[in-house]
Amino acid sequence: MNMSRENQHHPIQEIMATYEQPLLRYVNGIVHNPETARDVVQESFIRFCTGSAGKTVTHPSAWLYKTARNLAIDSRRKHRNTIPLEELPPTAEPAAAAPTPAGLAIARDDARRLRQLMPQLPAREQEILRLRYQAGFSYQKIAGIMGLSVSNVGFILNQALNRLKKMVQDDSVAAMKGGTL
Amino acid sequence: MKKPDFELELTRYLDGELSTEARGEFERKLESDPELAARRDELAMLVSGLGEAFAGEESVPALEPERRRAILARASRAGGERTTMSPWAMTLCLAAAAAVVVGTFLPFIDRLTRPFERRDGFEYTVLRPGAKPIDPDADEIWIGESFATRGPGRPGAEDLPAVAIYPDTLDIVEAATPDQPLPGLPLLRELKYWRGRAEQPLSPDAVPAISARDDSAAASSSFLDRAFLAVAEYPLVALPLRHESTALRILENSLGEGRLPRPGTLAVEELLNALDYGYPGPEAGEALNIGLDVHVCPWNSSHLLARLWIKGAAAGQEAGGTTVGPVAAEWGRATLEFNPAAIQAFRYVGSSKPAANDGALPRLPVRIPLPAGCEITILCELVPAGIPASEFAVARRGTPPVFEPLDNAETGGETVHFTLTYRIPGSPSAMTRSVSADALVHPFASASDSFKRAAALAVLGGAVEAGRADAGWWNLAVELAYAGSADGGTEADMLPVLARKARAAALGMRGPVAPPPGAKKPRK
Repeated sequence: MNMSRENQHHPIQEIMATYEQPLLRYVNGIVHNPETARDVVQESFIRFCTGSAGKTVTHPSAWLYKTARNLAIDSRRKHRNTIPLEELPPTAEPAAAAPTPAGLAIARDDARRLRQLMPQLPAREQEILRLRYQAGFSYQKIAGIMGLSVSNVGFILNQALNRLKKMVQDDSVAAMKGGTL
Repeated sequence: MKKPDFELELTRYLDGELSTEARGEFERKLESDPELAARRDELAMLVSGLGEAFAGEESVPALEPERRRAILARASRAGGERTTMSPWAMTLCLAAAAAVVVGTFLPFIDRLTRPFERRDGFEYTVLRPGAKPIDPDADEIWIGESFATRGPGRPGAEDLPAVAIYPDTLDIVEAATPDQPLPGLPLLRELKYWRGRAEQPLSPDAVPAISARDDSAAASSSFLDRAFLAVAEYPLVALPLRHESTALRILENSLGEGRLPRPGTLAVEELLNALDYGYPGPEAGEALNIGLDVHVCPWNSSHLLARLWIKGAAAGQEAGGTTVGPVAAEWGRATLEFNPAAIQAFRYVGSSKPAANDGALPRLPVRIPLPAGCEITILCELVPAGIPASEFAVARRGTPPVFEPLDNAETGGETVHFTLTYRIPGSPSAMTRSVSADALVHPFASASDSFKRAAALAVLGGAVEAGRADAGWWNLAVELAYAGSADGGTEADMLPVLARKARAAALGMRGPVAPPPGAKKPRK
């Protein structure tokens, strides 16, 4: 009996089919832990079910991304809460991976190279790039999800793209130097 | 033409975010500017590469069947699909329960359910329906020490963003309109911080408070003797706004009698706002202008002094589509957000009455009407990260501070972020302006004269309040007063005189006291 109920079609199934993987990737980009990302996405869907019951959510994607984002940040914060001040690493910036000959060979593939370089961007810029070029959201929607103004979204995107462009250029130069050595 | 503007336009162009008109204009620019066209091609390649990079990204393992089942089970419960009673039995039970509840608790139900109503085209999203609101009749809902603002249903505030926060879960209820799907962004920005802090509620209007454990601090109401608040505990605070000038009159009257005011009678934050600092007014269409400067603190060179200022549009100017009347903004609310990677503690330069009991914070007005042409100055003394904890006293309320990097820690390079939320009379929605200070160390000598004048008043008022009798403080007040008067101005000239009179009264000096060497002579 329960089985048959579970097999019934429910609107949340469509939502899950559409947004599960994009949300997982987005959240994983924030928490950097697939297991935590799954926790967050599961909770987001549950909140969507319970919170939107009897109500019309006009923008489910924005709702889900925003809820997932809040949960992801909470989760990250809870984790960081346990780190006493004196145990802090000297810098919060992710350590740039030292270029290796193998790494330089891979770097010739543009998409792969961009994936390699992206973690070196500030978290906020990574997130905004993901929302724009992975989820395909408009500036307006990104502004809503991230709690920014639309003009700020444009500014940060521009900053992120320029930074990434510079990193690609630097990386290319390094690769060329590596190749001549 | 500015290159950065082009760059921004270029990104918007590629992202399809320019209006048709702007797009056409930009395309004409592209045709006439080969360099810009080359940049467009370069950026387009990068954007295309990014799309490919994301598309080729390794998938995150999908939700396991157990998780899917849990979601579907919750969805079914929420949709009322899964019940163990027959529909008739359920209906009867609900009707009976409703009759009892309505008869007994009607007033309470009305109060508790009001924020959940749909009205005026607003749509509420209840993140956790079980949560109970507190005092929904209040314009500002104070829950423990958390903050929320309600919009719809409030006289005069119908169209404001509505955000409510619930005490037991710290869940947020949001209201949205079709054209403003995610309102209250500045508030949400704050609420992010309150979430997950159920064990240690924060105060948004946390003016530096005196810890019950800190007896020496409790003995004085002067900010100079007050303990600092840890940024780890108070990463974001709403600061009181004052534009009265009573304190200056008290000081002048007392000095006229050759004595200093009694400690505890001079509100330093009012004294700061007694002078005209000549802040630039807002641009056309804006009701308020804001600014933020951070310099080395003149009374402690290892600390920083942050000045926040607000300048109201003059009456008769155009702002928000209306002409500014006597009030530039119906209300304004100033928040200061600290980057915990750069600042570890702070104290508000202003009055703080000793707490009546542990945990009670003074209730200074944080949201007040802002008159046309008003100037408001707020100072905060900051302790940069890296200063040994033994060198300054911290008033702690809850658990010992742990490092809790917030979003602003990731923005990098910012020390503090000042946000002003306000509403123009007659305007349908709240407006926000914000400004950040960089993390560079700016020497005090490079500060503007108006900054120095504010610092002079802080030292002067702080020393009066603390009953300081040592010459060092008074000399510093005089020195700063002269340093801040180099740009002239009637009021600026008044300050050195005031400082010298105060020094004379404090140190028992009679007659004129020589100004610092090289100081400008005050104008008559």
